[in-house]
Amino acid sequence: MRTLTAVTGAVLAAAGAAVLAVAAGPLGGGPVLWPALVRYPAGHHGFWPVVAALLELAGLAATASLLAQVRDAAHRRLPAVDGPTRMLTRAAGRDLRRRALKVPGVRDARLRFTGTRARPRLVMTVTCPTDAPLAEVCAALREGPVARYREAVGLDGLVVVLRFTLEYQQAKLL
Amino acid sequence: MGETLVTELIEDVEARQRAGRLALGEFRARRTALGIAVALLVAGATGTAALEILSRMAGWPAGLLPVHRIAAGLRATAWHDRRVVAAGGLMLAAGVALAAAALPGRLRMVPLRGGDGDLAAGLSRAAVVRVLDEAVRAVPGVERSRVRLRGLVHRRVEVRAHTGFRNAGNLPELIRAAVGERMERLGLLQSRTVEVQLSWRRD
Repeated sequence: MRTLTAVTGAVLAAAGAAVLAVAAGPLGGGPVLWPALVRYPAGHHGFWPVVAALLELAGLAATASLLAQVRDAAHRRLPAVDGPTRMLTRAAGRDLRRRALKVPGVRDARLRFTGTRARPRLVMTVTCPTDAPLAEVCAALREGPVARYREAVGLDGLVVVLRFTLEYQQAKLL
Repeated sequence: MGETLVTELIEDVEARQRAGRLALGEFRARRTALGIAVALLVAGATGTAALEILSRMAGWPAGLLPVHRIAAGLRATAWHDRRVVAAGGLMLAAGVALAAAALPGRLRMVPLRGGDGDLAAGLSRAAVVRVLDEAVRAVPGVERSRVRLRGLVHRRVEVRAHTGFRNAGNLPELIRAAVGERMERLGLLQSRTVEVQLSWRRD
C-alpha cells in the first residue's frame, strides 16, 4: 500500500535534487528548455508514444493502488458479508459481549464485525480499570468468549483484534 | 512424552510469533488518507498528461494543459532562476517527506501478549504511559514523574522522577522494579528496558 507513496517520494526527491544540481552547476545560466532538448522529439518519432505509454502505466498503477486502498479501508470499517452471516455474527456478538462482561476486570466491551467472508475480522474494544492484569484478561477472553464466538460463527481465519481502553478513576475532590 | 512436549513448545513459540506478526500488522500506522491522496494526484497528473500527448499525436489537441505557454516560460527561464530553484527545493522536500511517510514508523497501539495466531491485542501508548506513570508515583518518596516510551528499535521506557529525599538511596532501583512489574502485569509483547533519571532535594 505504501509502495506508490515511496516511489512517488523517491521520484520527486530525485527530480528536485537534479534541478538543484543543474541550477548550481555550469548549465545554471542556460534556459530550462534548451534548444537541443526541444529538437530531440522531432528527430525521434518514438519519443512521445513512449512517454505517453509510461505515463499511462504510472496512471494505471496509481489507479490500482487507489482502488486497493479504498477497498482495504472499507473492509476494515464495514462488514461485507451476506445477510445470514451478518445476522449470525450479530447474534453471536451479543452472546460474546454478555460473556465478556463476566470476565474479571472487564468493565465494558464493544464489538464491530468487519471484513469479507474470506477475511473476516472482529474488532473488540474492551474497557478495563487501570490496575487490571491485561495479559490475564486477554487470555481469559481468548479462551472463553472469543473461542465460543469463533465456534458460533464458523468463519475460518477470523481475526480478532482486542483494543483495550482503561477506565481512569477520577479523584473526586468535592 | 518428551517428543510431545517439544512439539507443544515449538507450536507455542510459533503461535506467539504469529500473534506478534498479526499484532504488528494490525497496529502499524496505515496512513490511508495520505496514500489515497498521493494515488489520486499521481493518477490525475499522469492521466491528464498522457491524454494531452495522445490527443496531440492524433491531431486533436485536448487543450487540458497550456503547453505552449509552459514551453515559452521554460525557454525564457534560466536554471538558476529563483523560481526554478524554489520549485526544485520544494520537490526535494516533498519527496523526502513522502519517502519518510512510507517508512513503517511507530505503532498506533502498544501490542500485548496473550494472543494466538488469529488474535491481536493492544493498548494505546497514552494509556501505557499513564499506567506506568501511576506505578512510578506509587513508589514511596517520588513526588513528580514523567514517563515516555522511546525508541523504534531499542525500545525503552524513559522515567524522569523527582524525590523530596536528600539522599535518593536505592530509589532508582525501586522505580525500575515498579515499572518492570507493571509492564509484566500489562503483558507488553515487546520488551522494553527502563531508564530512570532521578533528581532530589539539594538544599
